[in-house]
Amino acid sequence: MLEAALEALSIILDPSRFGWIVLGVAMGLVVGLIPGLNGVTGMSLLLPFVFGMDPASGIAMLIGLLAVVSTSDTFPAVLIGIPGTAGAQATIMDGYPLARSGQAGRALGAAFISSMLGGVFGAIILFAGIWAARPLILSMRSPDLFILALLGLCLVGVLSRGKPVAGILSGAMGLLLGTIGSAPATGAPRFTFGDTYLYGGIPLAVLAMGLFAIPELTRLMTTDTSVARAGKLQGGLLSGAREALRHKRLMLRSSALGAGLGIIPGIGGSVVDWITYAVATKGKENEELGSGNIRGVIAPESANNAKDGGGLVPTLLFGIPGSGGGAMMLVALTLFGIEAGPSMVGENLPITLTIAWTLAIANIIGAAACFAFAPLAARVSLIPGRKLVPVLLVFMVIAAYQSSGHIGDVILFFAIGILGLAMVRAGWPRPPLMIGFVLAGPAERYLHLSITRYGWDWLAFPSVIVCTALIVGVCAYAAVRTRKAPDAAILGVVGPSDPSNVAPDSDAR
Amino acid sequence: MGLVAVILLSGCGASDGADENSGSEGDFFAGETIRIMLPSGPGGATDTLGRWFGSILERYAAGSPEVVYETVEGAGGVVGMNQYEASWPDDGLHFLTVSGASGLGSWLFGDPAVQYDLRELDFLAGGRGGHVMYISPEAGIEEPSDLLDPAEPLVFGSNTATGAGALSLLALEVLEIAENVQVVLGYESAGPMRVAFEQGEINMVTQTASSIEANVQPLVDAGTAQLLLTAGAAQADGSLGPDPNYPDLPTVQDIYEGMYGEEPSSEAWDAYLTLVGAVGWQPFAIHKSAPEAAKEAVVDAFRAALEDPAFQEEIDDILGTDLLVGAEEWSPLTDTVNNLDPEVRAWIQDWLEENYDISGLVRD
Repeated sequence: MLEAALEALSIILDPSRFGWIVLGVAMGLVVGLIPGLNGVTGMSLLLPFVFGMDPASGIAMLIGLLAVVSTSDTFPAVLIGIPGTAGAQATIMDGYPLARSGQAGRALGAAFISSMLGGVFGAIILFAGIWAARPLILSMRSPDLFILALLGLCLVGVLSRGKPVAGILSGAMGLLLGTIGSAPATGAPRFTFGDTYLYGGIPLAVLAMGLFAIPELTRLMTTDTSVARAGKLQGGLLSGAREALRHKRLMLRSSALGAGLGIIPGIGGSVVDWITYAVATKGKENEELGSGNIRGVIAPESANNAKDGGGLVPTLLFGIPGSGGGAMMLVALTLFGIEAGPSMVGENLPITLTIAWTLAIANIIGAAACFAFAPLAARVSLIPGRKLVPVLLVFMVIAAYQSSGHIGDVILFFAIGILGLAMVRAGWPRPPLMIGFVLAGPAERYLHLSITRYGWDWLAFPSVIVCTALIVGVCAYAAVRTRKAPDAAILGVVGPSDPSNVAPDSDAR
Repeated sequence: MGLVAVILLSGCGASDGADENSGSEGDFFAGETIRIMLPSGPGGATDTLGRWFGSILERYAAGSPEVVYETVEGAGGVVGMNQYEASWPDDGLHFLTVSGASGLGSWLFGDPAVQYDLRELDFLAGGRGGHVMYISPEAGIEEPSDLLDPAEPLVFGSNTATGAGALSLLALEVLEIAENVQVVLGYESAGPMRVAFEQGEINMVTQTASSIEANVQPLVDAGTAQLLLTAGAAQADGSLGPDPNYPDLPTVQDIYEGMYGEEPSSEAWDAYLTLVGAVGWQPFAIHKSAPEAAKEAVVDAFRAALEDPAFQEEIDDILGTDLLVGAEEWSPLTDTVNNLDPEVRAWIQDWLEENYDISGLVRD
């Protein structure tokens, strides 16, 4: 076993192949950096080139790309409050307030260390999970997956501290938006207004960008300030990196949660960052989360890099893509004549090992490159709004249009932007909407499957009962917490109302 | 920002600028850029296949054309197919990879989203994916007649009734066991169905023949799955023949004969024969009105590939079935599409609406 692993390592460290990893990483960093472009976009650009490459090189390039997208997507999230990909939303919550108080470097430093270690952790999980995860995946029946989706929805309660009613309504709105498109079992179109554009539902990237970018751009424009209000930078990359290393337990816990959620097929990696963020908010030291607490950067950043390793487990073992990137990986494997399945731990084991090693190596290279680029990038937070906004807006409209190449993307981008603006004005938290939207599909699908398969008998399954108890517990916890801390920072309203909130939290000092 | 802009532009597919006049006599594609529509989400079967078709043109077509792909997702490929027929030019440089079961099926079923007409396309090359149904050994099916009295209740799982599952659902109807089989629809794709099968949530699944070897054969070897039947392959004379990849497995017709001792003859059977003639094909197509020279150049490229010994392995790995090239080999599909019996179509529509909650189908 160990011998096979070392052999795979020597294969990918071969200079000719290593070059492909670096190329993939470079491409991934650029794609992550631009809001609206994600790993799928990048991989579909590279896919035509894999013909004629040997599998190890081609896979190294594609995995290199996939691995670092969630490292560099932190830049726009922290610096301008706009998610670089849908997976970077939660980082905004605390990363952006840090940038606004001039501490962009500190936030980025912490984020990259967390991303790197999270990514390496994910690679280890892939390495171990490919053997161990089979029973876990096979134990998840439709009712279990449904109840897990519900558990995820419950976190809406935790993420709307202080505003339970607005939070629930926002989550419900997300669920409603998630029903747009073809119904899971019959394929019947819903709320598509007779046009085929909405058959596939609202594109996630367009929703995430509209909801977060337009309100922020509007604010920058109308106040004509730079992101860093004081107009100067303080707190360096290294201090952020050191702080992240001091939060070992948080990082480990978040990485484990990220990789674990990645392994469960069907629930999807898109909410991993929010779930980790919600889980990280419990405990006394996190009272000020949402107003520039470094822990709120570390948790989602470790998780969203760790999820790639976890997500590849069902992709390779069962041919179930956990994400768009996973689906592209399956195409590449097919083009190399490799069919995902049990053979990935048998005759194709070298491929699996190559993937795990590439994941680890790419995460390290990617984080290092981001570190090098960060001091320059951090200066973006000093550019005044009237110069920054027009450029960003052009980029973002092009990126939105990239989602399906239909004018509907642009219209939706602005329409959702108006919704986001209204929510910010009304003080409604936006994270619950994203969670509701992403989980609407799986929740409906698995509820439908559970009822057609088991009638109502599934309600008595032990796993369902245990999870239901957990759900009740989470809701009760959120309710009690709300009563205790009515003035807690309202997540989703970006930016602290009181500058004193952004001081580094005590336990990190 | 400069680098960023360059990458972004290349993402939008900066492929114009092919010189229209550089082709010499006979090299239709010389110096040209071919565009291929992939009506599929990134990573789908159609996506994979279309990119492979494109690579064949790049490698084997005279004039070494450049190939650019465009994936258009939505409604199981219908959106991309609509877009191809409505707005892609018939200049011989724009091609379509038809999205297998749903692109052909949606048209046949009268899906209201369909704005394309398969009769306006010429099928040039591609494969024919067979379907294999497998079942849990716990059901105790040793003889065809055991299907009438299985050892455990049969639960068939699939995605949607109008998608790839339609053929199998109709097979259950032909075998007259639809009443006794619980049908669970809504699984996302073949992967989740296989997991549901392994964990016992469902015990009957159909999958494309090409992926049986990698994913189901290990289960068969371990004694946890049993290959039950193939959908069969439509023959030129309208009858049903064995699946070319699994000639030893019984077809739906063989099973029927084993169960009832006679040949099937019912409206469901007529519908089945029509459907089996229409779905399962994976064609590379072009507007019927496109220049003949372009069609010939593509057929020649695929033929050249077939003659390359190194290419055979690719066919096995990626297509998993025979590569069919030229109008002759595509005649079963062309015939089915051109001679669709309105009564059979109406029967299929009634059957879908009555049994599977489908509504709004466009009728003749």
